[in-house]
Amino acid sequence: MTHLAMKLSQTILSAMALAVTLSAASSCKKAKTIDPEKKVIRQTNPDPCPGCGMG
Amino acid sequence: MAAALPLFEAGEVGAIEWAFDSLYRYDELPGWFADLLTTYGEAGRLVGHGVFFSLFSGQWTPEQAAWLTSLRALSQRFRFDHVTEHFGFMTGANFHQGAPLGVPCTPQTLALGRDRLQRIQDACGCPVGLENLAFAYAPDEVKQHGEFLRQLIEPINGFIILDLHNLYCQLMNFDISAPDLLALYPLDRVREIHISGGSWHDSAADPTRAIRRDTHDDAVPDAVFNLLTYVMDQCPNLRFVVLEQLGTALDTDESRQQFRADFRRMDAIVKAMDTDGNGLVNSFLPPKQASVSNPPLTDAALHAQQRTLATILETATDYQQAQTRLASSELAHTAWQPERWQPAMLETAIAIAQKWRRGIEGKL
Repeated sequence: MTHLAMKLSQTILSAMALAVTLSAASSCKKAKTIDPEKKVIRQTNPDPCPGCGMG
Repeated sequence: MAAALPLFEAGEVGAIEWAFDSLYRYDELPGWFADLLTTYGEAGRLVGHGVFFSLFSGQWTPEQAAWLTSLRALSQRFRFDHVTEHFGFMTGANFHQGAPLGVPCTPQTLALGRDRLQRIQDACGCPVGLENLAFAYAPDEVKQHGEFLRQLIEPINGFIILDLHNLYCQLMNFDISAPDLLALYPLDRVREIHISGGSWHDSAADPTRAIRRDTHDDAVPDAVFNLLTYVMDQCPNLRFVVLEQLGTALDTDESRQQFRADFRRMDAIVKAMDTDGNGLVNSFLPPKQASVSNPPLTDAALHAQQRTLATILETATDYQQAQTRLASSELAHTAWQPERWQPAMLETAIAIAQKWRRGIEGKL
């Protein structure tokens, strides 16, 4: 096995950073709309995975 | 992504694994994500990981055919260094629902699994591997797993993803030592290793013990890092080591910092073991004369058993009721051997099946 670093272009890194920022902003916006009467307000992302069979 | 972005910015991520069938609700990939996949693919550092194919389902479904069609298209668009799936069958009645549970090792399930792996390899045209399952009902099943994986991948010159947290679950849940269990695995067939965290769950069936589950929602335990150090130099064909964690568990600054600390600890272990890569003795490339038979192999009796089992697990109120229903089902006194299943593990299977029966949407 060999280990090599992987430098990404600034274009991709900037796009990834923007995606993270937009995702965070979207989450904050959603959080403000949660009914205060509801006890569960934890924000979730759409990526839980049952894959390995013990999840 | 927020947790991993600093690692990408520092150039520390040497390869990425994409669960390519988990974005099925989206028509198009975000541009930046496609660019990321292309960049790693062109460098030979992108691997594909399937979740929903349900390798051991006794029936052949239109959704499985569509899954292969999608994989074929993705493999033409992106360059996967290899593609993998999970051992087991999905408990859900519908595609993208349920969780994978094991099947007995029989000539019928061996033939079925080989048929499906052949189809995956035909679709992706690159090395294909299978991941060891975390869940088991009984210790005999745990001890047979490595050899069954070896037999399954043999015709396609396939490989194993050795998931060390899955292995850790089995070590903890069945009180087996790591050297004893790893001695039962064909470690020369390991091309990729996964590490992750999980969680402990109390057992009503056996209040004296806790069950370890592979929930991917916490930091990597020291014991799993120790397993990585122990096993790496026994895997001469190892090419990738992957850290897995659910995005839902990375919702605080502390959890994101812990994720990066785990990544860097993994990276340090890998670097300490590093070689020049010339020692790889198996490329796991597909055999030249591989061919796919038509129509796909099916097993109506196995399918009926799987539906019965899934229904029992998804609707049982407790493990005692499940035991009673299993004893009068078509699974009784067959290769499934439900008579030998540990109550605490049956209870765990019920929890897993009921957690995932509505699919990913059911978790949101």
